[in-house]
Amino acid sequence: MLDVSAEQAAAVVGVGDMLRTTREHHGLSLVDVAQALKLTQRQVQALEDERFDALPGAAFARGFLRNYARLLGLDPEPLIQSLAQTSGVAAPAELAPISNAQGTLPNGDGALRPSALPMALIAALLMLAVVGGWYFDWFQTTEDPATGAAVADTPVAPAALTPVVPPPDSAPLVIPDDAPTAQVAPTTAPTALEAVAVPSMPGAPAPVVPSAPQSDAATPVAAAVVPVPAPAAPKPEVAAPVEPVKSSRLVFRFSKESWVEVRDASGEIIFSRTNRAGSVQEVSGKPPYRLVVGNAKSVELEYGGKPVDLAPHTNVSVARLTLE
Amino acid sequence: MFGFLRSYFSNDLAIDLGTANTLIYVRAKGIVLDEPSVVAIRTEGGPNAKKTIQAVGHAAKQMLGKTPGNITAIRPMKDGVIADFVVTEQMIKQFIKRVHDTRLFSPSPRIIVCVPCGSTQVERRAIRDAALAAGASQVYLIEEPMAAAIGAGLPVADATGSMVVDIGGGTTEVGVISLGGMVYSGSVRVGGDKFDDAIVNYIRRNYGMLIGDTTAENIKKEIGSAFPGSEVKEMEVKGRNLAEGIPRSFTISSNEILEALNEPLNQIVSAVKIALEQTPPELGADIADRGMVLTGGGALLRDLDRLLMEETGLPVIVAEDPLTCVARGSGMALEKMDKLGSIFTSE
Repeated sequence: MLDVSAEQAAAVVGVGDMLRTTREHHGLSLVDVAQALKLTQRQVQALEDERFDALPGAAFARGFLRNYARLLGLDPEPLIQSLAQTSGVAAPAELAPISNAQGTLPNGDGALRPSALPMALIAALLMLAVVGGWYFDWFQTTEDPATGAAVADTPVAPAALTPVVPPPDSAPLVIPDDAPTAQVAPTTAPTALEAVAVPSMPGAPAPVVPSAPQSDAATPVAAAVVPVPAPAAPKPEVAAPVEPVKSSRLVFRFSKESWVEVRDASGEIIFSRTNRAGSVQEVSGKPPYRLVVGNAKSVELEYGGKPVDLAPHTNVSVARLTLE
Repeated sequence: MFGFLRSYFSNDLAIDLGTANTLIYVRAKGIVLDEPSVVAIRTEGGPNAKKTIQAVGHAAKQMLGKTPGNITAIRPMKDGVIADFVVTEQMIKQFIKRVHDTRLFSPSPRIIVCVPCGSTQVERRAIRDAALAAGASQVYLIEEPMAAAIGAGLPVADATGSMVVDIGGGTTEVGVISLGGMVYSGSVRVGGDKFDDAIVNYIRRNYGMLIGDTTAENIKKEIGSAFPGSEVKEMEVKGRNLAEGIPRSFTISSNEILEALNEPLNQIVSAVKIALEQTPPELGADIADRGMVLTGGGALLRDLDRLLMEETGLPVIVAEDPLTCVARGSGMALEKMDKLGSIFTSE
């Protein structure tokens, strides 16, 4: 044993040489060693010749070396270290098997997969149609079946709007607003409401119907009112308050689609919407009005029966003006 | 996508949750914890009686068999699987806390946990749940023979058969691996603990003396041997004489321990032989050429490799540092976990 350790100290030359000399020192043959370690003679020879590539791998080479050293009574650790130095057997282990191809196999039954794509396409197209329809206002037709119905929705005093251009003698209809007579107001209010409500029903003669009761109601009122101011003021003065009221009606005629907003004297929006080409809108309220008319070139405006030229008020395509 | 964020907030871990020892490998750091899987629990008295954890790891192991009434030292793992779920969860939590830097956020690492290949679905589920409850964000399971083979440096990805025998505290796992997967795996519930039990029983039967598990473990480490022929060692042991009821000391030799270990060793040998029977012939030829590799604490039992060599006629080598093979192997899997999925097992 002493000889061995002395030899070990001297044998920095090589692991294999040391193994061989120690084996011969112990009087063992290659066959004996192979039998004891359950290795083949070839593997023991490879260990002694330091042909570690002939062994199954780094881990096994070290293991075999350790077993061999222990069999011979050597300390295996210095041998292992010198083995690591000489052959540099410390390749990083690969954990996944070699791969030179890619791709996945369909799982489940393959019949479902082809139909899944068209379904997704159809869904995407439907989605596109909905979004596009919203964007291009395809669904707007459902909004205004009749101009009168849409007007009724706007929050305007019921008496202020009338569906058709009334005859000039309906002017007293508005008078009750400033008239102090108590009996007149209740009678006119319901009729005005009816006049608004009726046109919303489908039918061509609808605008005609309200005109009859209106004029009926108006005549007695006019009869009742006219005598009252007569003693108080001269006739021209009576005509004066009637005049602005009469001319406070706005009539828009649209040859193209246009957006219009109207504010009355209180600054409240009494009319605001997008109007279709070819439609006619009438708005009345308390002047002065402030108007914003989009696409002004294709809008004709009448104020109190007189045409208003929008061109001087138009900037680019939007007209902003105040009518008194 | 947010891998860099996660790696900032939490270091991924690989845990070898063994019956005897728990090892934790931290990515890019290596093995940072190696402690016995023992937990000491103190039951507090008084009106607000509650149970608190007194110690884990080495400190708790020293208490094994020496505890007063209000402290119980528990080994929550048995036969490689969880015997006490709550205590295991607490133990993992304590260990993770120990290896993780204290940061603003509580750690939620991805964790690889080793499971015995013979464990059932329920047992694997329990291990997964325990790791999740201990704060893991994701849990990957890896079978112990696979981790052991990687840790031993075997060419697991090659198209050659590698046989690994991992003798742990609770189980012995035999695996034949090729192309990154297990071709055969077998497990017997025999390991270091069974060796200890066998020694305790042998001494009680033949000497009429009672010794504790820790003493039995020391005997096994000192003079334990699996194969006759090498030099005979002796050791003085103290235990309680069953007839007199008084502590006495006596001397025991390695040959006696060899006799005591005969039965559990035979179970391991037969597990290896069954594995060789079941291995496809092509892989069997590879194994005949290069032999099998022993890992785990059991591989440190003197001359166990010689026993297997003589019984099978195949070369047997003991892996370097067999105690940490599984932890190192799962650590290497951890380093590459983003690239490989095939070596992990599902429940």
